[in-house]
Amino acid sequence: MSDPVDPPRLRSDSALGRMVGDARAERLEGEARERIFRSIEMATAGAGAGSGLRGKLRALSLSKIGVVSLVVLLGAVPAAMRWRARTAEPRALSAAPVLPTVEATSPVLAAPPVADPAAEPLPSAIAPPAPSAPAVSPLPAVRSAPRIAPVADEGSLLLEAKAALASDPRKTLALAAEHERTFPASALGAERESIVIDALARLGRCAEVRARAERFRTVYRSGVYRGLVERLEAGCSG
Amino acid sequence: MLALDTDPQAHARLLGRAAPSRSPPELRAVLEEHADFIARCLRYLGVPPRDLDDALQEVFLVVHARLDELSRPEALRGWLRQIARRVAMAARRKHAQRREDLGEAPGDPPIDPAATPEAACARRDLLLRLLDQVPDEQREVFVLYEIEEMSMREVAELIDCPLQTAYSRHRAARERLSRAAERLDERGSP
Repeated sequence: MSDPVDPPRLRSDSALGRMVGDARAERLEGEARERIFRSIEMATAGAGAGSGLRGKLRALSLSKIGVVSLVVLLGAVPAAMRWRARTAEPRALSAAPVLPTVEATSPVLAAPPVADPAAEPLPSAIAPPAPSAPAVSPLPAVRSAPRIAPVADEGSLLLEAKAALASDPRKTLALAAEHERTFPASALGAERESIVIDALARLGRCAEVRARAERFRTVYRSGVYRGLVERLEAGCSG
Repeated sequence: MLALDTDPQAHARLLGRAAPSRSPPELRAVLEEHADFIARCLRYLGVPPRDLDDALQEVFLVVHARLDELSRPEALRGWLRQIARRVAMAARRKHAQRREDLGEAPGDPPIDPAATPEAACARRDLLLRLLDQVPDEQREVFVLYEIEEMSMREVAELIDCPLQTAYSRHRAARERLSRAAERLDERGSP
């Protein structure tokens, strides 16, 4: 059956259409754009060196202090973003302070126990990616003790976990568990879980791979890592 | 799709992180090309202004971490949309929680457009305020379809809902927003 025809989009002949038209034309202003680029390039230092992800991550670890400093500096910038439209003059900036807060307050699924409890610590939860995810219980600890963390810390921890996959998957599991403890309601839960499943597959812990892959599919029903997780599950033998 | 799905050796190479058969796009190029679109997505999907820098960084750190695994470069934009959507939803939840913790009311009334000098900027701010009063699931569809100009099928696939549901959500959001915008217009908006 063919799709219904999409409705005509809003045009500038209505009040809402004019608002939407302005929104469509919105662009990152040059200064804000460069600031973002610089901070990301610092956070991913070494990416162009061609030395593989481990090398990149080594560089990242060395630059961690610099990254944290940068995020603090960014926090002093009076406005988080400056925007301009192709068709409009730049607006005056509001004086909203920049808070380098990245941790999500999303609810977290309690994980069923996995096999081999004596093994290294595993992240035990998957942060659901969407409101349409199955009903979950919020974590009171997240509300009562909100943590303000620069995203570079969180991203670098996961990058480090991923970098250890090939040489030391146990270390990957430990780092992922640390990530989960530190950022229990992270928006990067899908990334973390796919890395954990990868590490478990490399260790031949296939029962755990299957259990976590099943849970991954339940929580991240349309996630971008589903294909990878399915390949890891299908390829696990042991 | 790569042959990795059926070829065990290829799968083993994947596990061993063998070099991808196609060069992934360079991070800087991805940043240059998609920063506007990602920033717009984040903003209109509800990331508060003060969290935008962090949200953008978060998206691109994920991109950096996973770019070498992108098997189909043509899927990049859809992949970015998914990441941006997840980051935006997390930021929105955090913002709502923050408001709740501070005992703030969940929806401020629209600002007086006369208070801002630039008409276009005032209209964008107004739109953000109006969007804040629309249920999240309707807001997503409206932003992706009307502002990002995705097809409704793309929207439905991205948010993982039936096509007809996406149409319904769009219609509901549009009616609600149109009424609110017209009311503002009658009072003298930019």
